[in-house]
Amino acid sequence: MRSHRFYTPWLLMLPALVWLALFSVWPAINTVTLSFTNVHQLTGGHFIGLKNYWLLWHDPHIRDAVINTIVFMAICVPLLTFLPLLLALLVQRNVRGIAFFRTAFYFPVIASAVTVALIWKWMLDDRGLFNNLLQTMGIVHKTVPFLTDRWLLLLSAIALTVWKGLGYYMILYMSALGSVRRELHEAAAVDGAGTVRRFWSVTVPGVRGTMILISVLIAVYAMRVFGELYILGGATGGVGGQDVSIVMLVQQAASGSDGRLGYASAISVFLFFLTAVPLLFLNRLNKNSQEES
Amino acid sequence: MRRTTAVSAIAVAATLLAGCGVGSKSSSADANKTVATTAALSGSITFQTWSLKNDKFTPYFTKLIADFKAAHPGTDINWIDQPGDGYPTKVSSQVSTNSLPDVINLPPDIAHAVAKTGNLLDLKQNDPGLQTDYVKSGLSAYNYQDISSGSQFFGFPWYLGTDVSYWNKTMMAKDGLDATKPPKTFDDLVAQAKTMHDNSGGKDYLMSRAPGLSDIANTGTKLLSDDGTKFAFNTAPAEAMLDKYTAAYKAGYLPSNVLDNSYEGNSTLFSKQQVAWTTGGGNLITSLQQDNPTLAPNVVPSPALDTAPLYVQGLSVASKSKNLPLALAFAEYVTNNENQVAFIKLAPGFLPGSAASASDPQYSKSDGTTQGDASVIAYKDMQTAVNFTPPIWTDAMNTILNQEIAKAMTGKETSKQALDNTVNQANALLTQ
Amino acid sequence: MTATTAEDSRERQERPARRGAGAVRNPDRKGRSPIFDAPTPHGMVLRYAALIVVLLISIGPMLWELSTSLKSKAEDVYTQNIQLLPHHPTLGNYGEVQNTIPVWHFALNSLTVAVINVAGNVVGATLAGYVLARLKFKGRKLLLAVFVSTLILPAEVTVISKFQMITSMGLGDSILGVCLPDMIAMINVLLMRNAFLALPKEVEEAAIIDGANAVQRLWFVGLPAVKGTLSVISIFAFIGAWDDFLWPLLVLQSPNKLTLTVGLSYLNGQWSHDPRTIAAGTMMALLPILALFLILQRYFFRGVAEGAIKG
Repeated sequence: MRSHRFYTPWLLMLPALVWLALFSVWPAINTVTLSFTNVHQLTGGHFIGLKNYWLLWHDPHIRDAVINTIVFMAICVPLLTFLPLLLALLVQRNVRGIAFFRTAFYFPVIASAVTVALIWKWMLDDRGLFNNLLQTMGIVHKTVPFLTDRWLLLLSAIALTVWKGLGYYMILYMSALGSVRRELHEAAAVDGAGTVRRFWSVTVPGVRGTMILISVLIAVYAMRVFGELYILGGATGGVGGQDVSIVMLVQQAASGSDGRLGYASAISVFLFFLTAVPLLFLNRLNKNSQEES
Repeated sequence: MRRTTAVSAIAVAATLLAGCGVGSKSSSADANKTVATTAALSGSITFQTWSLKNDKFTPYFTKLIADFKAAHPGTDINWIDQPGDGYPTKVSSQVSTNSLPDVINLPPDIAHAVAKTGNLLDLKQNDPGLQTDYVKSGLSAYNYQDISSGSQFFGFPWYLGTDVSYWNKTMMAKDGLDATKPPKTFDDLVAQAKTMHDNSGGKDYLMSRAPGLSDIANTGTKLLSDDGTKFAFNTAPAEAMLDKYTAAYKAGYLPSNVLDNSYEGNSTLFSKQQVAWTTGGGNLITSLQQDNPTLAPNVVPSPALDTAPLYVQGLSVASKSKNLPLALAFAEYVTNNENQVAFIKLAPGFLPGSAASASDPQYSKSDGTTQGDASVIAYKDMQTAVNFTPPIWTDAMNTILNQEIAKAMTGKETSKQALDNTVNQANALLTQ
Repeated sequence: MTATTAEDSRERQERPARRGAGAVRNPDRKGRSPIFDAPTPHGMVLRYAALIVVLLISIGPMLWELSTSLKSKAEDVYTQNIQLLPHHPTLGNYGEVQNTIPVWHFALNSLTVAVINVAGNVVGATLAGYVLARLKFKGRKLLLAVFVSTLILPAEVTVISKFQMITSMGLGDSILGVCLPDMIAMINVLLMRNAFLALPKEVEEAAIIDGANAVQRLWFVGLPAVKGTLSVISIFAFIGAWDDFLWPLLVLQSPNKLTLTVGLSYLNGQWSHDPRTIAAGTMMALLPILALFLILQRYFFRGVAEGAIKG
């Protein structure tokens, strides 16, 4: 017996379908199309073939952005893969007040990247908290230019990203830890494995799928980073404009009434191919591994 | 004046440029209209000003409009004012939605972009007395070589401003400098900055901003190539100037934050008394008296260094206006001599754009107050001031210039590389 | 720290009745060593110490900002010694924020966007998720594949085209223009689908036999059972809309239409360089969302435990 009229699914899905078409499918196609034109905001443009990509290839800002992205990934991925796992283990046990801690750890995640960046910008200022602490403790003697040195600024943005992400990935791990069977731990304990050893031989393999997923998510996030650098470094990318991310370049190119939508789209397409790499990697790993993430 | 470049979205130029696919077609037909001025005026128009609706100017405008309506019964003027920020974007969206106000206050760069789309009326054709009634330097700001080879004029000069240098005489005296003998050239400035730096143990600063386009122009470099189509300011004198700034920065004559995004502008630093020099409009002292009354008595004005920049504001008429006779008449009315003189009374330190009173001796006499002195200096500066920024220079190009200058001044690039990079990238943007 | 097992989380899922430290005898574990994982005093101290350290790291910066926002003008905010507690706490900075930027207006704009976002997602994603999970029809597999494929596209890649679409609809520089694209997010559709898939089929089949049509089944059978995921989606949608920066930055131009995130960045850049004022502004953006989360955190973590995130 039919459970529904033939048109019911389509009717119920209509809103979502409209959104899918208008705001997911069409923009994806249009971005590619735009990338081959020199359309400017408020006016038109025409087809110019691969010129935008040629410009992209020679754009020194893109080079800076890619380097920044690589550094971002290199540091964020290991940190945000392991630290949240430790955090999840920390809050796993049902000690008194754990709900309070758990909620508090999640606070940085809820705050907007902009708010968080403003707070950190204040702390990283030449006369701010970090410099004061470091100087009071005698670790450094001159102010550390967290926000004006090209590399320190990048590292600051990375620190901020890691800090903000801890809670989020902790939650993911909490879900995954649920499936690590207790018996394995017990067996290992009986075999004489200590805490640390059990961590490496039971816990980590048990959440392997999640770990891989998380690494990929972080890598993708690093490529898409925007708010942190925008606020810490200023809209133009720090002194000399070298602390830019790829998304910042998209936003800069498209902004203002002379926005170069065609070029911005080309950068977007470039970004897509970059992010596809870790995602394809994940897909392959998922196919190979038996565990579900 | 805050060291933001005079650039607005000339971007509008690139965007509103027609001829390439989708977009409004530039039609000089509209600009070339001749307005019938014989019939009696009637109907209503919209009059848009930029950031002028405030306690100081609102009574002036209200009276202005009331007087006009009394003289021309049956007419109505709808006055709207746009906030200071985002004006270029606002105007471009007005152009693209065909809702440009009939009489509109535009600076030369935005006027250039709008004129290129054919949306501004050629005033030369419609006002025979244009070139005698208005100051030449003001008019030339609204005359563009790349539109009809410069045969058209798109704005009535309304008020002219320039930069005056202001010095903090207490700070200077403290470090062994004499505020009555301030630097006259850039080299003087560096020399006196050194004195201030050495005598204050590096705490006080005389120099307060990084170089920009006007500094490049002041080295005698031509910003554009001979045919006016490309940028060509990566010359040896410009590099030498940038080298001097780099050396000064390294030696600590400039506050370290002039290059990063916490830089608040030289006039803010001046009010905070972190630096002893700033540039500003002719009326800085008046505003200081309001915001920072303890500082105002310590300020000494002097002529701008080297050649002063000229800032022009004007009124343009929309070529697609539905009531051209009224729009034109009103624009001429607002910018006539009598009304401009009254306007300038409210904005000391500026000059009227009307020829009759621009050389009125009253502006060259100080009333003895420091503001009066500053106004006189502004007046003198304006006789020789030059509008440095080419209309094709956009915000995006200015950002590149600032970034490259920052790299040069922090030693990451040579001055030559910085200027070459800027010119190359700016030229690339022209063709994009 | 002692590496615990899944014991506690499993307990929470199966038997919420028993709470407390790990030495609970789980009836399922017959005959196993009862003292494995028993908390030692040593272990507990370490654990709490670690918890407190992480707590400080997590909320420390926010506390510091709060403290700055309460410091009076007379106090130097750039002192050599760290002063956590203000000497003369004042709410004056909050007043100054209101004078400098129309912060309540911005907050209202953000709230409007967030509420519309939640409403749209709850309705649209639930409907579509249910259909994809429980109704068989031709083309379902293909449609599902299309939905999934949109996930590999980061939002930033299509932001330019979305911008073009919004401006060509005439919605540039409008609140509606900000809300529209994310009102039904594809990821939420898939999350709801996952949630519906987890429901036992029997109840639904019984409803079919009873003659309930699709909408009735969704309303009476499906919805009550996916409350956890619904709340997770709502919370994420609200937070996402409240915190969004890039998109409103691109779309909005008029100073009175800005959302809180964009308005605050202006506070940082142009208006004021007084760290106290900026701190106050930051707190005004942060505290509402934190408060909201505090109130709803129970539902949120419950929804997470139900496996909403697993999908």
